[in-house]
Amino acid sequence: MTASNGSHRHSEKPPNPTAGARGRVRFDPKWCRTCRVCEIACSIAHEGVARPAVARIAIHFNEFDGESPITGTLCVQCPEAPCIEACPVDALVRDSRTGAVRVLEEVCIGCMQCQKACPWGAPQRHPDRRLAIKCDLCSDRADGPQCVAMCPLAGKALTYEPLAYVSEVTDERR
Amino acid sequence: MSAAKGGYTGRMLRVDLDAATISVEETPDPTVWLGPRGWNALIGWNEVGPGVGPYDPENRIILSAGPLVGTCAPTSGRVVVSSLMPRGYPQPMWASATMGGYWGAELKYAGYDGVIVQGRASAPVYLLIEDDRVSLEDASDLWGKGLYATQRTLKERHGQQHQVVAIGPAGENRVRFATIAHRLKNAVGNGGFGGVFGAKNLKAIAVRGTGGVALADPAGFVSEVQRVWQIARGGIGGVGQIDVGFPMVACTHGCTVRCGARMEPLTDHYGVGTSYKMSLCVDSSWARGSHPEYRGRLQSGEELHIPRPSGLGPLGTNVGSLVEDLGMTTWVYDTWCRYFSALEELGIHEIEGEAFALDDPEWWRQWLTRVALREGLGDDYAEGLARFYEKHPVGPRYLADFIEDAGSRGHGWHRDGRAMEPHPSPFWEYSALLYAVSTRDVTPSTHDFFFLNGLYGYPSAPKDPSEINARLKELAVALYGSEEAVYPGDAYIEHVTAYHQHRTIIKDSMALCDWVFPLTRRTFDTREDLERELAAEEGSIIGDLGAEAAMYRPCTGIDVSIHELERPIAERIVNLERCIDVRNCGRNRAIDEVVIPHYQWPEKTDGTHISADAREFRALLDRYYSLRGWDRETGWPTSERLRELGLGEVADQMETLRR
Repeated sequence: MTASNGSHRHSEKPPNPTAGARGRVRFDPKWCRTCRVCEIACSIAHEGVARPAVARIAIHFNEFDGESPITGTLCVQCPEAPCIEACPVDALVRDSRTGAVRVLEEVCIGCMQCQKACPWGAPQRHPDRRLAIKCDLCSDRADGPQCVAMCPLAGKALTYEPLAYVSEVTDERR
Repeated sequence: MSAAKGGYTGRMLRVDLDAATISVEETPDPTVWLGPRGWNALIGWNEVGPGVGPYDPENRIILSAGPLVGTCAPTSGRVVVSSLMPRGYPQPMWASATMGGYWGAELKYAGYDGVIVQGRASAPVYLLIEDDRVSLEDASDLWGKGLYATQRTLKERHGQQHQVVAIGPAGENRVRFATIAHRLKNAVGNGGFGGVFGAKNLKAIAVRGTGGVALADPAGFVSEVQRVWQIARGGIGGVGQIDVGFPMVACTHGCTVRCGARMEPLTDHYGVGTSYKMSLCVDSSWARGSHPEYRGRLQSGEELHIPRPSGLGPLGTNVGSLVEDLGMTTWVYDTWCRYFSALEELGIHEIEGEAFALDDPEWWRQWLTRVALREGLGDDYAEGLARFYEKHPVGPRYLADFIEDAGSRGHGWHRDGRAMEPHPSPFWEYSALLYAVSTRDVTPSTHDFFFLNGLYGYPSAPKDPSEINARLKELAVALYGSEEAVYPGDAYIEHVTAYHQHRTIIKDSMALCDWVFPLTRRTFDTREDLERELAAEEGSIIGDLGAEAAMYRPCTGIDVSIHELERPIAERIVNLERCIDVRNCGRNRAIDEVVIPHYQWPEKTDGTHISADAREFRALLDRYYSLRGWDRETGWPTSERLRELGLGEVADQMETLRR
């Protein structure tokens, strides 16, 4: 399941009082050129290999059809995350520094209830480890999400909105 | 394979369609053969002998992806396809072509560096690759279908993430300019490889991979990719960066540089089944017209006028899409419309009773369909203009030859300074030498030298070296060893040609985009910045001539310099490709020299040309052979040079041939 623009879909919902708790990577298909470098950047950052099957972001290009042939699958780090709620073993936790929802792999049992609960089906099952994997905003990297760092249209196709930035916007809205 | 810690998968698939068997074998040693161009030539030399034609079951067609394919290296998604090339005229020879898209990356993720196809299936099949599960599947329901319908069907059947290469009806019917294509646009292309698939009864190869490409030094690789991207990001023009969104898209996996590739919405007037068309380069010719006209006079007095194909307007985009769906090169319009419209100027308005209606999209639709299906006169058009003229000598011979002939190896002449863009001396001299020693249209794999034209004052031409920009002269020294390489005339052109042949093999073996690599010039943020640098007393416009090796090392863990990739590795591959054609097709100096009459037509911009006795061109060819270590009489690689390059067994076979 994919959404042509996760952030757009999300913004249709009413402002959430806990919105300040998240940072996120925002995808805008109008700017994406389908090079798929973000997928490779992600898999190298997390697994040390160029391998889209283990990337926490996926770009789909349906060349033949559609009003918007480019779509992306990535976690928008929902403020009230249904994946956290759905996890039967509490393997999903909010990272206090980045606001990302992270998978505790040592706890995860690979049931994929998180994927079923996600409006965009963003969590994926790792093809080898058989556990859930999802975007953690590269929490362990000082220079932020690697997909954004390597995107040739960073700031347009992929934008990193860190925790502080989102808090600020939310504060204004309040 | 033990030398590589990343980049290569180390495995190739071999598909024998005669026996309906599939096997996995080790990829030839990358420290000797580097990548696709080397592997493919090695297989061609070992397995495709004299007397084999492109459509024979004994012919091989190999689709290979290099070490950077599937990574995030800029423009790295390309696939190299090699085989006997059907369009080659008067005889098909060994040739390679490349295409972008996602297919090559997916093949790597499935765990393979390449696919070798041999034999002929008893009925139409397609190859299905899903990681380690590989099978031949019945394609009887796909046979006759267009490229778009074929891909849609296979994606619906197997999964949207499967990537497909396929042929259309033109490939099934062995049209000599039939493509093997992927998605809307990625294709090989001009030389008729689609017919090789067709002759093998192979409709498509669908691939899905869930594995990855290992990297010897992931952090080092990412850092090199980011550094190289900063130099490459301006793309062809070397200015700016990609700053526009949809409909501008990447034509290939990993493409992060500025380019003109774009999606065009289609009304789908001809019902081919797509709501978009991808456009690059010549694709817009169907709608908006093509390269400028030509007027020239030979020393012997013949005069020629070739009008500019003017395009078919908005419906032309739909015709272009039809061409691609049928599985033919989009260059068809450029080639045939030039010929037909030049005939019309001579008062000839029909061929074999069939009148032209060159401004009518419907006329072209019918013409193209008949060519793809080989119906009526379409059967002869499908042979390409050079062969068509042998059977239907309509209009003067020099007219047909001017558009495509033995000199252009049966392809439409391209970047020759005459039929296509203006290319003042020394650019056309480089083109002439390159065509002389090639087996196909040379431009798509060696744009690099032509792109320097922009710094040359294009389309005007300096008459004196003092008029040439200082930065360009410095660049010529860095690239070729002498600024004479960019002087008007043919001094040093043999070095330019050899350099770019090597760099093409390196680029194809990675595989990277011909419009971007090698990075001869660096990117400037704005045109003004570039102009300022060109006018400055000191400075540099040089890019990164070692970029391929700089990304290759952390990718593969193989410690090799760009100079070692040039010599001996690329030089070894140039020589092996030459030996295939010498052994199989009698390639020799006389065949190289068939380019001469074409370049005796004056160049568009400066009127320069090869003289009536061609003495200067033959001297250039002598210098090239000497540089290569090839025999001046025969044009054959000498045993000494072959042995220096580690091709001892090849030298032994060549010595047997000499006796």
